[in-house]
Amino acid sequence: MTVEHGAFNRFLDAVIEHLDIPKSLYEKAAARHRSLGEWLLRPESTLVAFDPDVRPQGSFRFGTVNRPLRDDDEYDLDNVCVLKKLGKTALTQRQLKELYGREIVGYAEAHGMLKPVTEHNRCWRLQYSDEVKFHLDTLPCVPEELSGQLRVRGLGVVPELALRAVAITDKRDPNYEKISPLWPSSNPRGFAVWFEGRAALGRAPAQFTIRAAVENVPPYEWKTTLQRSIQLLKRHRDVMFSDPEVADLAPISMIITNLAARAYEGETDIGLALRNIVEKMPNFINPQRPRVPNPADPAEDYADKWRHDLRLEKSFWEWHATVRADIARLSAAIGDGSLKARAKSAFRVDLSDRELRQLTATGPATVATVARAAPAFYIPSAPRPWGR
Amino acid sequence: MPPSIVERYRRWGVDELLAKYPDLRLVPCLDADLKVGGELRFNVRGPDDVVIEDSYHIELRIPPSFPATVPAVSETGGRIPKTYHKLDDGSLCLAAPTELRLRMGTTTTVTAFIEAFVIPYLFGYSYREKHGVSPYGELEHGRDGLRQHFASLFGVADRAAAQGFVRLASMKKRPANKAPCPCGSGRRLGQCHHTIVNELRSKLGRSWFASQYEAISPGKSGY
Repeated sequence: MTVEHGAFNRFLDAVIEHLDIPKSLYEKAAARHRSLGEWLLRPESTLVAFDPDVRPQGSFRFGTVNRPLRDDDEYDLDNVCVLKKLGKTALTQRQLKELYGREIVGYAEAHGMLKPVTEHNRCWRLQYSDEVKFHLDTLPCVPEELSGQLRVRGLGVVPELALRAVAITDKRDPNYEKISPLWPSSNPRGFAVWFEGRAALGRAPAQFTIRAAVENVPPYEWKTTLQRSIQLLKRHRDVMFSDPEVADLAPISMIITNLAARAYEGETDIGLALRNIVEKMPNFINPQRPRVPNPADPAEDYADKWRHDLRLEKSFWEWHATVRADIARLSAAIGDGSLKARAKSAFRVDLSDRELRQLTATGPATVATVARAAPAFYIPSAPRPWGR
Repeated sequence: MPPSIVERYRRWGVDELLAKYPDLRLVPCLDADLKVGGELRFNVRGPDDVVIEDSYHIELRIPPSFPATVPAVSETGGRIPKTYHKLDDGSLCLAAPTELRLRMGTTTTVTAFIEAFVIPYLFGYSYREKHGVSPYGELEHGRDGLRQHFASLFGVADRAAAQGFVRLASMKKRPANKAPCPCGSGRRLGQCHHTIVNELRSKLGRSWFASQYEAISPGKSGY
């Protein structure tokens, strides 16, 4: 392994350190989910008979949360609540959504939350106003029937993931107000389990030896190279699309997370993992729908919106070309004096002089101060400029 | 599905562009264009062996129809004044339209476009800042500049003659060859300057020259 290689890994580690949130924030998030789950299970809850089961979802579950780009940005918390003893034919999507909504509103009131609970197409949003700004999107759903699970298995999904398929509510669905077996299908928990399996590929063998300890460590604390790579990729995306005018065109985290987890091959070296992930990501985008399928339900397309707005796909490829080029640029810039500026432009992270010095401290002094030479040309003749 | 974006960017050599010019970036934009922005650094040895190393902040908008359509280029660092060669929208006027068309014929990648037009233009400006003159000369603005360009393209000194050549290039080959040669030799075009006229006509098409004839004829268009 070359010195430059080691220095590049140390550089990526330093950037991730700037992106990481304190462990206490993860714990706080976990407590929020627990607290909501306990509320739904209290004796007087209207849902207690249906055996509600709340599980975290999204980046707080995957361990891929970054500090927001701007100090006043909010953290997104997600969870999924499965009403295990309820089925699609017992009520309409609307009835489930409203039943759940009343409990959520009750929770907000009981906890003195000042901001109103808001209804979204599929979930309810709770706004916390602590020192750390959070909002929690909570998704009500019922287990998918056996026929639904079999459909998912028929698409090549292993039973362990398929049995986590759920039926969700969506205000835009034509059957929203009807008793109908046709509910939108999803499998967020199957995805999470699949993701954790991918991330575990990169866990150091040492972590597996203390079996008891392993089982007590939630995935968000693993900090595997997959999770860290996703943090870097998401941050790069946030910076590239930080202009509010184009923010809606940014590739969504679920697409980045999904593709990165597929492309990841268990590398434990962060530089290697990041390069390979970025190189191989495009191989997992289908030319036809579903373009970016949920591995736990391939009929669910995370890139569904690409159909309606071609700019979203264009943005994805522009981001991909940029992050690919930036990785090469950053690795070439180790020790050439432009690294600080490049880290800032790619990740909006300010590395201190001490951090920069430490990157190359263990290797021979290869610090050159001159950046790469500009491309050179001999131009004996050229067009004459004109004007109107 | 339209031709895939991946395929288009591959044809345009986007990866190569970003690898060769490490201070240029792709900038997300709301339309179908590819927007490239950042600092363009170059080191150019010009016609009299003067070497200039310089850099400019630029922005390119490459339309999906590139290379058939020429990208719009602007200098975003505020260094080049409006009075230098610019279009009304502030974008750089890199060359006369016919010259752009001719040279674009061999330009398929964004890197090739930058190196054929943008760097020579910027080098020309840097050179002019230092030495007071442009290394490759300059065209006058507007209609006169177009006539001036056509005069050198057809190899004549007289701008009125150049206008005559443009008219003949917009006509079908046979009647054009029978017409008197605009150079004033007294011979028919078919026995005089026919090679250059026929070559340009087949390269760019009659309608291109028809539109250019409009552009250089007084009182006909907005130039």
